Amino acid sequence: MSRFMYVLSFFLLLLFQVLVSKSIALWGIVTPMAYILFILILPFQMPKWQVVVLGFVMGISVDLFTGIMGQHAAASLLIAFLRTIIVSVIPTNIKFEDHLRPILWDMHFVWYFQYVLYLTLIHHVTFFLLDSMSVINLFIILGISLLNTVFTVLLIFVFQVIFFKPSSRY
Amino acid sequence: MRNLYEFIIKYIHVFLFIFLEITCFVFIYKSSSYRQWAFNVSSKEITGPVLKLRSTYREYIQLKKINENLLEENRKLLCVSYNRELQLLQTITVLDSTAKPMYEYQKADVVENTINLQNNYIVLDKGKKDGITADMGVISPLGIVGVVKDVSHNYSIVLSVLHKNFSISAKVNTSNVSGILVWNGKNHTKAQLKHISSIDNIQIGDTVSIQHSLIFPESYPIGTVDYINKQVKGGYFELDVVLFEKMDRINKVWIVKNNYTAEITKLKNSVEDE
Repeated sequence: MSRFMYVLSFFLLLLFQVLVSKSIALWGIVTPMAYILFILILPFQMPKWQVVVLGFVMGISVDLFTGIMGQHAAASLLIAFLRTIIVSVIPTNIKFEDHLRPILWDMHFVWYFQYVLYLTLIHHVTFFLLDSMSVINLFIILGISLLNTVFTVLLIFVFQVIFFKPSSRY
Repeated sequence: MRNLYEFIIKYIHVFLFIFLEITCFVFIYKSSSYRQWAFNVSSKEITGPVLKLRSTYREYIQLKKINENLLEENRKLLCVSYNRELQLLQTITVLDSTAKPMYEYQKADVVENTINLQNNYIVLDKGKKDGITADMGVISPLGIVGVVKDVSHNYSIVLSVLHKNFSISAKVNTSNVSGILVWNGKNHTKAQLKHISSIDNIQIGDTVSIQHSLIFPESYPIGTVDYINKQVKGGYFELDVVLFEKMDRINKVWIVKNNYTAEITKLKNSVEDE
């Protein structure tokens, strides 16, 4: 995937988040945050500091459109930082060859599902906790996070199936 | 020295992460005090047109519902104006031609609205240039929606009823018992009426409306009593109120301007000063 494609996916995901995501609201409480897909698909070889910066930029761009400045940014910054740790933690027998990218078609389904699930969960719990800034309604906040996680993961997999294809060996 | 340099280069992502995360927290901390919303409002000046696009689309698919609401509102207005004329005919009154009406209303479109957070805000497409200022009430044809918190040139940010810091004085119509309406953050269709002194005449289904407010018209409807909580500490009771306005569907709202706010506040201050 060329650099241009990453830039394109950044803007498409941002537009999707701002224009479409809100309208998906089921029972009024679900807003899938599929824009984190941008952080998930960044190449394994990318320097860590670049991933962190891009995570922050993605989050703050979404913040410009919705809610309080810094909420989305803090959450997506956190997962951009934790990404490498999560990758090393999930048990696998895949050999991370150079041409492989963190997308569904290049990875085993089980590995990729865990990868997406953990990062989405961390992102959502952080986001909703930052919003409430208290633990009075802790279980409701966790419930909403879980519900949102289900839909975000679903949406991320749909995007993967539709828009991505396996990377070729050079 | 060379070691230190290498150490920094190696862990640059950790330092960057910590620095940016602190930046985020500063942003969040600043915007949670309401006078600091300026940055957020000005960012709406840039992103507003995009959000407007979305609300236009949503408005289109909700046209049927909006029409029904308008018809209902018109029906009520017809009743009121018809009765008013009858009254005027019966009693000859001398109207003060210089007196302004107590409340003036201005139409506004919802540009951005959330309901799934603990502190929800609404963005409206009217701002300073339309004469909107902070602390004006926002109502819909069905019920109350929120209070204007901050304005920019073209947009205004509204503290939704679904916000931890929203509170308004309200009464139960049938028994005239009053309390304070707040939201506990659990269900976006229900608010809570606290500090109720007696529940003798209150029944489920009674209407709850505004009382003694400077920002909302007197007796404007809020919702109906859904549940009476008798197990509250401190000798007061608490009611669950189902809001008339479905907060996830608001689209067209009215901003309420009270022409006498300044006069009343001045009067209040003069009493307090003594």
